Amino acid sequence: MELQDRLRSDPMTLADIPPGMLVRILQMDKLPVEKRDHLLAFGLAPGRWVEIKQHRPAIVVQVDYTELALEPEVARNILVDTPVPLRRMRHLRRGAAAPGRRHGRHAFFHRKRRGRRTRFLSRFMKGYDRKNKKDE
Amino acid sequence: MQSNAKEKMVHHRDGKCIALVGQPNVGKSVIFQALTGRYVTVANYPGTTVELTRGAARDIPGATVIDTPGVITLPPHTEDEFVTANVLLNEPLSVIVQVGDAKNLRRTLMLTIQLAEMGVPMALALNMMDEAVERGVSIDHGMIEEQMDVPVIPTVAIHGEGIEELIEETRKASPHPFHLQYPIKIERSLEQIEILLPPCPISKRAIALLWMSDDPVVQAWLEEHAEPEILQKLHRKNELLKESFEEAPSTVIYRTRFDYVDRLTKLVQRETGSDWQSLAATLGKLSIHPLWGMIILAFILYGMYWFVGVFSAGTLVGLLEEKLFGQIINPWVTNTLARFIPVPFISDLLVGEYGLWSMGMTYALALILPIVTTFFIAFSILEDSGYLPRLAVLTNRLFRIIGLNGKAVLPMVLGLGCVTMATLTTRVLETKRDRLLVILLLALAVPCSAQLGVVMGMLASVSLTATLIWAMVVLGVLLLVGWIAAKVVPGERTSLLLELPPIRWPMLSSVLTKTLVRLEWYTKEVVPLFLLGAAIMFTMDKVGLLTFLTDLGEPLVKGWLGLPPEASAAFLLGFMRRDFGATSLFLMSSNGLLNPSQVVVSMVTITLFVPCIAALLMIAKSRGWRTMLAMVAVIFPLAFIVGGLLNLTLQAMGWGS
Ligand SMILES: Nc1nc2c(ncn2[C@@H]2O[C@H](COP(=O)(O)OP(=O)(O)OP(=O)(O)O)[C@@H](O)[C@H]2O)c(=O)[nH]1
Ligand SMILES: [Mg+2]
Repeated sequence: MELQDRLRSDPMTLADIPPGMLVRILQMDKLPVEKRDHLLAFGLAPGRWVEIKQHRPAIVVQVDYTELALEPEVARNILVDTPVPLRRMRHLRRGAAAPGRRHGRHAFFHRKRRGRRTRFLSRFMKGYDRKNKKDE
Repeated sequence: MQSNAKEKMVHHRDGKCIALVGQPNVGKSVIFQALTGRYVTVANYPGTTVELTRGAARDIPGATVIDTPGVITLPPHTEDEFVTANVLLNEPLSVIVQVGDAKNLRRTLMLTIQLAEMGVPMALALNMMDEAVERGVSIDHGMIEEQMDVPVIPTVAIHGEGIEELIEETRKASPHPFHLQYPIKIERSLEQIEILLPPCPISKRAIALLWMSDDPVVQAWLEEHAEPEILQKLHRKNELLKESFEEAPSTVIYRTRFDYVDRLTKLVQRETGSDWQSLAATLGKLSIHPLWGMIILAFILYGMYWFVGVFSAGTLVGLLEEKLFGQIINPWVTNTLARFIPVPFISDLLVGEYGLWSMGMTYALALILPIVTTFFIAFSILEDSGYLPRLAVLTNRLFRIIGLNGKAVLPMVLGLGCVTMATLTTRVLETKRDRLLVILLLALAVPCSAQLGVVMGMLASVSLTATLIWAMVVLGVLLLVGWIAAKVVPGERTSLLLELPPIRWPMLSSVLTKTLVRLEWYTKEVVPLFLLGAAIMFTMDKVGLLTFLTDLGEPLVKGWLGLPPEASAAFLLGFMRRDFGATSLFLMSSNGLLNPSQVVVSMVTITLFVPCIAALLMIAKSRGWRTMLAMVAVIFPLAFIVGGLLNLTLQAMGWGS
């Protein structure tokens, strides 16, 4: 199996990744069950990308928009893939689609759904439009 | 800081029952306030709410709303999660309103699946939309609605946006046919388990899924509601299931849900991918930096010392106590009494040495009120900013020494507000051992707001060195006792795993409301105790018991602690509330009866003294009478031993006498 090979040849853990890197979680079987359930509930699961923010005084990682503080004991039991620098791969952070694949917002938002696009929501969309423009 | 114990009675059996459920710190309590108009504590850290609060819904006649503690995982792991799991299973809920964090859509939807599977009518409030938009996240909530058949309402609870729509959806929420297909093996076992189950308050499928994940609450429920032989069959099913899988069934279930959520999220969520930055985020980052974090911490501590100790206890109390009460109000009361009720007994009772007015009310209003007011303001700002969980990161090493992890700092700091409430908050800790250790340290070495106010006021009037000596001794005792207790109490240390919420700017309205609510609590619960204390002292003084006790305590208080014998009375009062004892000492010191060394010794002793009766009752309630008595048996002598040793040390050093 591909995963097995990689785990054998390159057994890096979350505790080995320097701050400022993005890394994908491979496996967390070695963790005690309660700790694993906890992390899974926070969205830190195999296949997800996490950002390492700092190591001391505790390891801090971010998955989606959740920041988690962990002790090295926990991080050492989480196996990860080869890290990539955050700057280059920002779009991976939240497991979002790569920039090229992003849909146009027209196709996406201007579809009417059960007439539930309230005034309140359109305010947020305006926010979305603005942000989107800045991005381009 | 407010007890919700009385609220349990308000229960409308026949009416609708709406439960607010969701992960910690997503805004459930803010929404509860919006729906019911009742105040509950809202703060920016996970684990604010640790018990149930009920209130009548303002806009849905006859409906009761329940605010629940946040759940990270179901099956539950901590005591506060158990409370919520119990509500889901044992209350006849007519609607579940899930409150979720919009910017963490995956996490939110994972819980949505679990709740939707229960078959109870539900609605999802996607809260914190403002923060999602700020970070460039946009969500097509209509699509979630279409896919999951659950009404989804975007909200910004703190600004009341989306609340009307939420009420509308809650009112017309109907059962929905959400169904997630699990791998065939799981589905087959589900079928077999469902057949065996007795009639359930929520869908049998949900119960069966929880049963397969070894949910303790479902287990307890079945033990009560199912025949013993059925229960045995169910247990056997579970064992068989576990044997037939390489992984635990719960892992397979999780993965199925996760795949569904991941696909749905990719479908409905768009991110600009732009790098989001703000001053608050930078501050948050600096506050857990190994170096900057310490500087910021020192800055915050000094700021609080200045605001509460110097400004309030020095300036404000000076104005109120000496000028307003000492020169205007109290002489006026004395004169009026002398003129209209010239009975010595009455005037003694009201304005004598231990008079209800001159001692009880003056202490409560002129000394402690200004101090606790400023403390509550500072404390509310800290709570709302999201700094407290970051303190857990900074102090993790320290707590490691005493066999705990940084998470323990939360109840400890909350103890500075009210030890009784903090004892309840230990529910958020993971193991029984952690909870026991923290409760012991809370009872021993954490002064509550009223007491802290007095202590700071008194020490600030001496010198900063005096404050530092007090703080170091108390902290030293805390560490030493924690270290020994961690060795004695069996069990493993749990390692740190904590969510850090974003730093948010505290809102003026929220800080003011919180301060006012806490002041109301103070005047309702603490002021009467002060009056009672004064009344007891007065009676004992009249019957001559006081001189007797003062003589009795003299060897201990004068000989060992090196304090004037009158201080015995203060320690006596300290039994009722530590802060009341501290206040008596405060008065003695402002009358020039104590020198700096005596001030420090008496403050250390009274800080380490047994906590107030309410806190002791709370310990007895949550950990049993024997634990409570054992703690008192340790704490009481320890306070005097430390006080005496400090007295000897200070005398040997020739400090402050
Ligand atoms: N920006 C923003 N902040 C919010 C919103 N709703 C709530 N908050 C803040 O989020 C924090 C948590 O709110 P609470 O209502 O205490 O959350 P809770 O879900 O009851 O939390 P627990 O009781 O700990 O489970 C507070 O600081 C609120 O001010 C929102 O819509 N937008
Ligand atoms: Mg709450």
